Amino acid sequence: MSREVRVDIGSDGKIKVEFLGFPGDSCFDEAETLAGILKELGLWAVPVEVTPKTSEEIAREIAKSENVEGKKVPHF
Amino acid sequence: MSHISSYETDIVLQTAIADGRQVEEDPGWEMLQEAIYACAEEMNLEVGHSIKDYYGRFVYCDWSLSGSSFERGVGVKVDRKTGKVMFLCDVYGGYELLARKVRDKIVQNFAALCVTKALSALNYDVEMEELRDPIEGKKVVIRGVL
Repeated sequence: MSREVRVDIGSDGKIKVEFLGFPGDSCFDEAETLAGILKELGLWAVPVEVTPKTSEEIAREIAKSENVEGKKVPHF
Repeated sequence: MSHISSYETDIVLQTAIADGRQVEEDPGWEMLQEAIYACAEEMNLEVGHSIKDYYGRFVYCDWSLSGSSFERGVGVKVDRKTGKVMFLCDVYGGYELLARKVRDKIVQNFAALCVTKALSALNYDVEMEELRDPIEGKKVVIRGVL
C-alpha cells in the first residue's frame, strides 16, 4: 500500500493533516519529520488535536488501496 | 497505524538567525514574499513598504498591502532578533475584519508553499488544489503520495 499525506489548509491558516497507509507508529515519526522541515522553512505548526484512526478505518483504507491496485491494466 | 492531526500555525523565520545570518537569507523569506504577492493579486492590493495609521502617519514595514479600498493597509514586519513575523494595522474605525482577512490569506499562502516544499523534500509526489467555498472561503488541499 502506498503512503499518503493529505493536508487541508483552511482560510484561517489552520492545518489538518491526514496520514494514510503508514505501518505501525511510523505516521507519528513522519508527522514529526514534516513538522521539523516546516519549522526550518518558518512555519511553526502547533498541534491542537491528534486523532488516531480506528482499526476499521485503516482496514477500509487498505481495502480501497487494494481495489485501486486491482484496477490497474493487467499484463498479458 | 495512521492518524489525523490538526495544527495552529505561526510564522517565525528563525533558521538563518540561528546560523548567525541575516533574516533576509532565511529559506522562508522568499516564500513569505511570494505569499504576500499572491495575496495582493487575490485581493487587488498593492505591495509596498509602509502603512498609515489613523492620523495618516507612515509606519515602515518589510512589506505592506494597501489599495484604494484599504488605504491604511496591513504591514508585515519580521523581527530581526527573533524572526517572528508580525502583522501591523491600525484597525481603529472598523478595519479589523479586513486586516484579519489579509493576514489569514498571507498565512494560508505561506503554509501552502511550505507544505508543498516540505513534502517534496521528503520525496513525495505532490499535487495542490485550491477549493472555493462561499462560506469558508479558499481552502488549499495538498496531497503527497510516496
